[in-house]
Amino acid sequence: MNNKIWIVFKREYLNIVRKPSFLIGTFLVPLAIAAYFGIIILSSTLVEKENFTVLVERENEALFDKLQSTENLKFELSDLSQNAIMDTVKQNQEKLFLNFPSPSLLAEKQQQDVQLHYGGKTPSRPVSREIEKQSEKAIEAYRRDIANITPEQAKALDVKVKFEKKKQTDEGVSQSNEDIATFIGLGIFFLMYTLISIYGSILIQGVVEEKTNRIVEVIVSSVKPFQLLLGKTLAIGSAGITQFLLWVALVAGIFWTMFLFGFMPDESAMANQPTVDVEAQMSQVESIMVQAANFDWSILWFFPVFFLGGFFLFGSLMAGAASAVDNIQDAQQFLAPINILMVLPALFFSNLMQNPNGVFATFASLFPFFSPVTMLFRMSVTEVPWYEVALSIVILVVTFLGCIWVAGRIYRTGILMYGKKPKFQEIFKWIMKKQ
Amino acid sequence: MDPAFLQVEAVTKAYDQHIAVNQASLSVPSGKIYGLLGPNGAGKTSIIRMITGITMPDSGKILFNGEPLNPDHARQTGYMPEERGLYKKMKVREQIIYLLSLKGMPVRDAANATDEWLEKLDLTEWKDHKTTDLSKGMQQKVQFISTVAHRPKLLILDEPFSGLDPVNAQLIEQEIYRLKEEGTTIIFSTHRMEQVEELCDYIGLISKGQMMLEDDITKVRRQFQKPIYRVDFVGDKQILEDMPGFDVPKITDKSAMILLREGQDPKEIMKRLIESPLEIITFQLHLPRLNEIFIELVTGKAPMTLEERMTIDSTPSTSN
Repeated sequence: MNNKIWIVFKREYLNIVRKPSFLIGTFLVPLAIAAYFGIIILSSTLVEKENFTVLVERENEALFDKLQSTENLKFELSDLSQNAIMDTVKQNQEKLFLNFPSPSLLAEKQQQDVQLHYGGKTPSRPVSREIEKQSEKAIEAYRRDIANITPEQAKALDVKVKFEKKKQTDEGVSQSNEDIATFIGLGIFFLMYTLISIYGSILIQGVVEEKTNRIVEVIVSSVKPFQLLLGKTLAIGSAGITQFLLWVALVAGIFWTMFLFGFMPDESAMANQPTVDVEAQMSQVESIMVQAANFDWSILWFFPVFFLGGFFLFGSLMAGAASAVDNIQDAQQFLAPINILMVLPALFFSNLMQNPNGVFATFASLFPFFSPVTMLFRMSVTEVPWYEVALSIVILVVTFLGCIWVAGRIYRTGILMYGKKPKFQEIFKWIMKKQ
Repeated sequence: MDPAFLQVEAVTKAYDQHIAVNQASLSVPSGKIYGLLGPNGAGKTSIIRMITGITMPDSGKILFNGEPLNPDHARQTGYMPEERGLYKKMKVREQIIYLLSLKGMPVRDAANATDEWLEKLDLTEWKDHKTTDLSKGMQQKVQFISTVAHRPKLLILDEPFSGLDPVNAQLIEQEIYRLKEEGTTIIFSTHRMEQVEELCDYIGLISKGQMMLEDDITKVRRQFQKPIYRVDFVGDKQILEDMPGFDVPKITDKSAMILLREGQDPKEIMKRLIESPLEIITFQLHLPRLNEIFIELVTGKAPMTLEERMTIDSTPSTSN
């Protein structure tokens, strides 16, 4: 008996992993992930340098004195009238006109309207941000002067708070990686969801194919339908795990390569507890990388467990539904409730994200139809007690065993039924019927 | 009666409210070809599925070589269903080996048997092609190989010739005979009565879930050899009716059925007809086919023996 499950398993497994689509999926997905990070990293390093001369009217000379020219940004006082300056800007693309309110308005109003006029291409966001920042500082300084506040006094009032969360662990204090953890958790959430969906649909297609091309009758004359279903499900689940492991290996390989080519923070930066100074020196990308490196990647060990659990659960129900009908279109009626169960956690995702230890999140990570996608997310963003993880797995296993049992009963009758699409009541009868 | 290899005893199978097989009994003699006949929906497939162990009877029992049917018998059975298929994307050789190993054949033996059969049925050059590359006839041959290559003791062939050209049909037919000579018991199901008459040693007719008739085909064949001829003609039908040597149980203005009397030579009758004033268009031996019995039995009349059926058929001739 077990030998037959193994024979079915071998065929089904090889059938999937030998398909070109499996190879393409295996290589494209990590490349896409790498490309995604690559683009972020590249775009942050390849900011185009733009040179502008920013004109300021003579009446705002007091403000002009507070503005500080930089390498790419030169502030210049102009004696021309506003209209004449506008014309200059139109004619010369490298010139911008920074139009401040009149000095009397500058002294009074809380909100100040400042416009940047340009005649050529729009100044990039970093440039306009820089001009905005300088304008704000200049106006502040101007008003300090009017109020007779000395720079020393101003400095005394200027307080900056650097807010940090420090996680207490047995190994000591570590940098909080909350943002990146949410990001990674989200990635795992969708990866899990996608994998279960993809491999679920492979299973559905396999069942429908065997039924529609009528090979199933030959097969079930040698193998019990349940053995066939079990061998198939195990094989497709294993192919999913194989793909996941290949992804992990490839992504790790790609990041290692990027590290070797200097795209990643060097080891000293990774090893040091990042102090404020070090952190300040690091680019944003590097800080992301350090946080990602600090992420507890060992939770990925649970990925195959929850993937298989979820796949067996949803896959067996999907296979049961598919076996009851003659083609995939007819299966939709039965697949819809299963799909809704699968998608629900995504609808409640914001709740999950904001309150990963809340009642709903805890419930979702224990409820077997939600736990495959939600538990790993929780584990990414918060510390989940081991007994909750264990309980979640136990509930999942018990439920999927039940689902496989039900699916097996639908399957053994369904695969030999052709023609009329059965009603829910009939399917219920198939489940209850003794062989 | 030859000893039975497969015995189906008072088997009943119901799906929901519908009774597919009702108290059906049949006995398939060892080493013979048994034709299981019946219209669509009569319960043939349901019986076959129970024999192959795909489904279980609600009541009654099935004896396989004297033992109550159990899952081990599956490996001694080869089943080629009417609605059959193959994995489209799988290679021919790989596919046959897979199906054989599911029958419990070790992979090495399955590979050897597969190569042997591919050679025999002229498919060796296709062994590494996918099913989709094959013509329908070639696919049929692949299905046949995967049904018989594990040397089953019981072979169940449901419409094995459908989709085959005459050359390949003959090839398969020869193999069926060869398997029979090697001692395989064969259940053969078809709608084509000429194939039944040609191949089968026994026939069983099922209708509405019940066995209507089960008999040795040689008896049936003997009765089929009644000298009834069909004559199509142009001319006065009275001339035909007045001729000696035969009776005319049935006649229209254009054609007649004539029953030759004892000791009459059909050649002589034909000669006489041609020499008569009638213009003879056709002169043809009419075999009351199994088909006719089949139709009459399944359209609601009570079960009857072939003898009874033939007596009714020949009533007009004996009235003379």
